[in-house]
Amino acid sequence: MTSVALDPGDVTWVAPLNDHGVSEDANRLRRLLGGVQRDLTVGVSLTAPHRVALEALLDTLAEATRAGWDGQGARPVSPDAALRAHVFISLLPTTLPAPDVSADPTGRVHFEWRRGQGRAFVVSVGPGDVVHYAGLFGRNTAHGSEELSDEIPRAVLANLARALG
Amino acid sequence: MRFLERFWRTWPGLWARPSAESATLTSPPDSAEPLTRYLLSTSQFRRASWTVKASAFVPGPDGRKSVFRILGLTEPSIWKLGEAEVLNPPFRLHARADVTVRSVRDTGITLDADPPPSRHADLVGWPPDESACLLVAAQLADAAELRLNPAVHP
Repeated sequence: MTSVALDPGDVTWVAPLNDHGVSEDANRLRRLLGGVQRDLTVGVSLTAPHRVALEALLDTLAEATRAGWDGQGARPVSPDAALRAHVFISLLPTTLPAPDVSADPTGRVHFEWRRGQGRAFVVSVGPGDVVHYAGLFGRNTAHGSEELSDEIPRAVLANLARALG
Repeated sequence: MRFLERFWRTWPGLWARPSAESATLTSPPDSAEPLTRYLLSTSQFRRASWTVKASAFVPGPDGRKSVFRILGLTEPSIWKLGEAEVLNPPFRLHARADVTVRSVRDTGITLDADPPPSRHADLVGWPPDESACLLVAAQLADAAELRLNPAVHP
């Protein structure tokens, strides 16, 4: 059972964000990370995969919310992208293994499952409603884009199951 | 004897021929030619499974992905190249993702030699569709061989 809720009004700030900015973006990110960290520490029922994924998201955001975080000119993950990534985790079925989490140079957050050589599935979540996915299934591949609303798109789940199966 | 074996394992490139580093880079490059993507963030690879994440190969906003042609270089020289041309403080050169020109071509994108420096190149010709781009990055990551920098991860 997972009930990860984001409270936009939450001003709790406990995450070790390497950002001393005072912009509205920085403040939003602080609120978001504070909420995620609170979920991890008190009162919220999380399955192990969700907890692992949220911790990985926190680690990713701690690094990738600064411009040039990869040492090679990457764009930072924006508060909107971070929020969407958090929502994505909260919508994942509890039966799935925890994904690896990372950021890409365009500021999108990646969720990746790997089942050995030639079997992998990756979803990229950005600041908008659309998520992109790509899967490797041996000699076959699939990719596409779907709108993320109040549930994980069926095409994403179907291809993820194919990669993990 | 055991000491010599250990020494040889630790410094395998020490006796490599100097001429190997001046190997001619052909244009167009041979399919078997090795390329490397230097990784300055630990989030772009999995140390436990020695694998590379797709995010390591996603092109930047300019639609290019910087790599280096490492044909003929010894292992120590490859790390030196990264330190000289890619590393910038406070970052650390954690690892590299090695792929071949063949695995790049298999995805449908191309290699564009882009000196200076002389061994620099870009992966270009990425598909305009973002999910197709993600697939190419996933394929390159799957084909890549992870190498950890022994100076950072002894």
